[in-house]
Amino acid sequence: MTDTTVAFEPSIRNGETLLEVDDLTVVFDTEDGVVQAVSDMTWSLAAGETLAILGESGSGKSVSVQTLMGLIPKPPGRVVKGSIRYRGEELVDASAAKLRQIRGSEIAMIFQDPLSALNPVYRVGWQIAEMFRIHRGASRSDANRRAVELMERVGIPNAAARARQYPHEFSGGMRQRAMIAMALALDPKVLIADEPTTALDVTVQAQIMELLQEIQRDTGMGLVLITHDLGVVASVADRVVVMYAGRTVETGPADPFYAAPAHPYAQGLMNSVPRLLGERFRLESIPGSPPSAINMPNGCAFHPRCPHAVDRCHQERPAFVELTDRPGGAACHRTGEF
Amino acid sequence: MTDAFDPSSRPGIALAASSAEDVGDPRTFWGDAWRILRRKWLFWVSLTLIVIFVTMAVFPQLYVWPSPSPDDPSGLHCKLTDTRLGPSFSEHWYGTDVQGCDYYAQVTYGARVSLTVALFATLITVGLGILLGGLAGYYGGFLDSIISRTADGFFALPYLVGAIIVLSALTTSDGRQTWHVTVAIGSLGWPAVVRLYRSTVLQVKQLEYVQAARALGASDFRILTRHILPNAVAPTLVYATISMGAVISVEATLSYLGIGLPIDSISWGIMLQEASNKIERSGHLLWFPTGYLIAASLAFVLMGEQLREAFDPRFR
Amino acid sequence: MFRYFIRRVIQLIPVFFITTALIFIVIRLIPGDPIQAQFGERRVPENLRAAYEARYHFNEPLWKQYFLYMGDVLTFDLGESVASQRPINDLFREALPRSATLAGMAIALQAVIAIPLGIAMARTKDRFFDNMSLVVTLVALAIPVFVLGLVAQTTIGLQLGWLPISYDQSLKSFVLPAVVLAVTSTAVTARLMRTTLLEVGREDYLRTARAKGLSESRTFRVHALRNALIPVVTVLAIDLGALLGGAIVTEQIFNIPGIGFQITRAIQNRDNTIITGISVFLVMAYLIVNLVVDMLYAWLDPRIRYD
Repeated sequence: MTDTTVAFEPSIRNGETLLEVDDLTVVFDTEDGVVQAVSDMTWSLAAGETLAILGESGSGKSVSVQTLMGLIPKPPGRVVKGSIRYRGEELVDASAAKLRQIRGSEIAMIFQDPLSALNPVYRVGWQIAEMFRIHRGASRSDANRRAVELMERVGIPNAAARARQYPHEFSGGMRQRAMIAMALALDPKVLIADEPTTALDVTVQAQIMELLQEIQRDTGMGLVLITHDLGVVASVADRVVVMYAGRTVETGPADPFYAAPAHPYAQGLMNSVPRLLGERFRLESIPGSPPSAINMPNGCAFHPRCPHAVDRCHQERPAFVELTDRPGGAACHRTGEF
Repeated sequence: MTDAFDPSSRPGIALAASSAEDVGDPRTFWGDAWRILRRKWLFWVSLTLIVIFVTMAVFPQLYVWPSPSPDDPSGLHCKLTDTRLGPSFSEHWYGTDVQGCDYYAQVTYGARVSLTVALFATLITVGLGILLGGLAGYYGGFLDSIISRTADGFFALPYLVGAIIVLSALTTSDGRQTWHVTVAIGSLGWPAVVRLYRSTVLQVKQLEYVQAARALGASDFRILTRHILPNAVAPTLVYATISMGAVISVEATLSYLGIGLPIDSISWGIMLQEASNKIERSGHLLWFPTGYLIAASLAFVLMGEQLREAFDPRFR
Repeated sequence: MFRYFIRRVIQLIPVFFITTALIFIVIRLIPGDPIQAQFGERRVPENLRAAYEARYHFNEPLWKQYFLYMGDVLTFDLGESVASQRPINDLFREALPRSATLAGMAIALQAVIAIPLGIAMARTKDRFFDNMSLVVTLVALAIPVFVLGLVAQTTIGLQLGWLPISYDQSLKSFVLPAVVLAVTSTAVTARLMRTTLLEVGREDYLRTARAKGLSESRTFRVHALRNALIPVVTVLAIDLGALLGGAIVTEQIFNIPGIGFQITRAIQNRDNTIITGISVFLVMAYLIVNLVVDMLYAWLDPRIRYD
């Protein structure tokens, strides 16, 4: 292994460290060979902190969190290396029973498309109440009452009546609120939100992000936000992990990252966000498309699309190094040169 | 010409598998289907069986010799003294029937009538289905209502009851003939094809290039035959293949019930009817036609299943 | 739900009239004079002919006969047999319980075998058991029912002597025909169960169920199976409806005087009023079962209701 992993910078809020992902490598066995979905991934999350994992689809950002939830199908998925610790407890080789106990009650998750993520044949209230009934052994009426309370808390109007409706009778935003209510049921310490606003209207997106922030303020939970939307990152994230082709290419506190991203890929992402720069309004896209996981380029995976690529980038994979001018790190041979 | 019948050469058609993977490799719909088919062993099994039964129907002399001659016009080598012999390797492979006729020759000759009825009944079914389904889907409105409701009505009567009633109505004082059975079976299957074809027409009609062709003044007939028909070829072919297998089975059932083929035809169903009360002592009279009947029917059903999987992008 | 029900009922009405009219016309096309058929070779006396014509409206134009008959049918009177002059309703009172017993046993067998088999196939997808079961069910699909009936009669009935091969009013004599009747539909249902389970297995809500910390067993039973059973239950209901109308071939082979048996006999006797009566009953049964199935579907799948 040529990679050296830097110690991740201390978290901004000095809360308890909840999750530590260390050197995690996940592969999938497919007909066309072994595909590396996540390679040598390292990050951590403290209580009260928001970590944004940023990347295009296929960059491994979803696989990494689904691995820690034990949600990737095995086979074909396999963790070949690394560890995931929740409050110091190893999850990679934990028993199914142990994982079940942590899932839902300690670490909860919400998904991109709340319509397909909710079971179409059960009432929304029932699906939320199921959490109390399975994990807490609550009675049917008690569980239902608490489900309605949760729905009120996440801002679903007329909650008692809506609890008796089915998912298809909810609007997109209300469905995602219901998913959030379900995730919050057992006061988890960590909430993982996998592209929670991608399937929603722009106006609703902001409301959902606001709701998540508000809940985080109230409960002090850690939030992992998986997204490809830099706008979302800018408004809520404390720290950022940028992924490309299964690897971490840049990490750091959100504000300095946002002001001056170090990795050419992160710079490209930034330029593809519409924003007003003084007098000019400019919008650029990164040329080319992400590499296929089967045909990974040699050297730096980003070099075919990189405007600053030099010969070395074609041959040698860049190590992940700490930045000199600000907290954070990046995996680029030419860090600091531009 | 091949282009006109290749749905994948047009944009926006769900039948063709289109994804990033076929960039740079000019794949065609039929080419993809073939690539999938040739890897399936069940495809080769069913194809082999179909080839055997088709040649048996067209050239029975390849399987049975001597062929019919002036001395033996039926070609069955009947000798009344040989009644109900058991199967043997030396003389009568499958034994003989009550009249002492060679059962192997009979079972082999039985393929012709089964496959003929199956082929023509399926042609009638598919032809009627495409015609009526096309009209219903393309013109819509009142015509659609009439055709669709009538098709619904056909589903309401059990298939066999319908076939029995139609057969009774067709049969004249001269007795029943093979074409009666063919028409009776063929005239009952079309509603399924109407449903299939009507929905295809409704989908394709919306596509931009069809709208464009209409705007450019293409005639309804041209649009139906050049644009809509090619898109329905694959599902119709799957249906027709499975239907062949089903008709073989239905025809045998009708013949067994005594309301199918004329009693003097050489058919597996008739053989089974004759065998049904002699099974206890002469089991071979049941097993050989049964084996052929199941194998022939299964061959087409299997082939249809394989085609469906090869054509359906969800299985790819 | 009620409006959905009313809408479906309204859709069924034209289907009922088109189908029964078609049956009526085709049956009238059956060659031969139904009155003459009752007298064999003898000449029909004029006064008797007139009496028959008046009683069965044979002298009226076809459309009028149809409407007169429909008037009776709507008061639940299916007419009477030309041959025996017995009300067809009486015939149903005897035959329907027999066909219903057979149907009930066959459907019970089908459900009890097909659902676990389909689940086992889905869980062993592409492995030996699944592949074997796929081939076996496909073969079962291709075997005509009458062949199955003959084979079962010969082997299980005659050679082994385990079960009666012919109807003797005992419940036991329904077992073998029920098994024969269940084979094909069990094969279809098991394959359907497998397919829908595999489709449901890819749904996002199962990932949600696991993320909620539910056990694999609860995820499967409560979240996957509940959804996958919807089409299977529907198919079972449709099959039950179809079998209530009698199993022509099976009832023939095992000599069960059910509805399917009666219609074959009526065809042989050229008793056109019975053929019409049974056919109209079958159409009604089909349409009512379909209505029930639609309601069942809407009840099982809440997404249907307000569409």
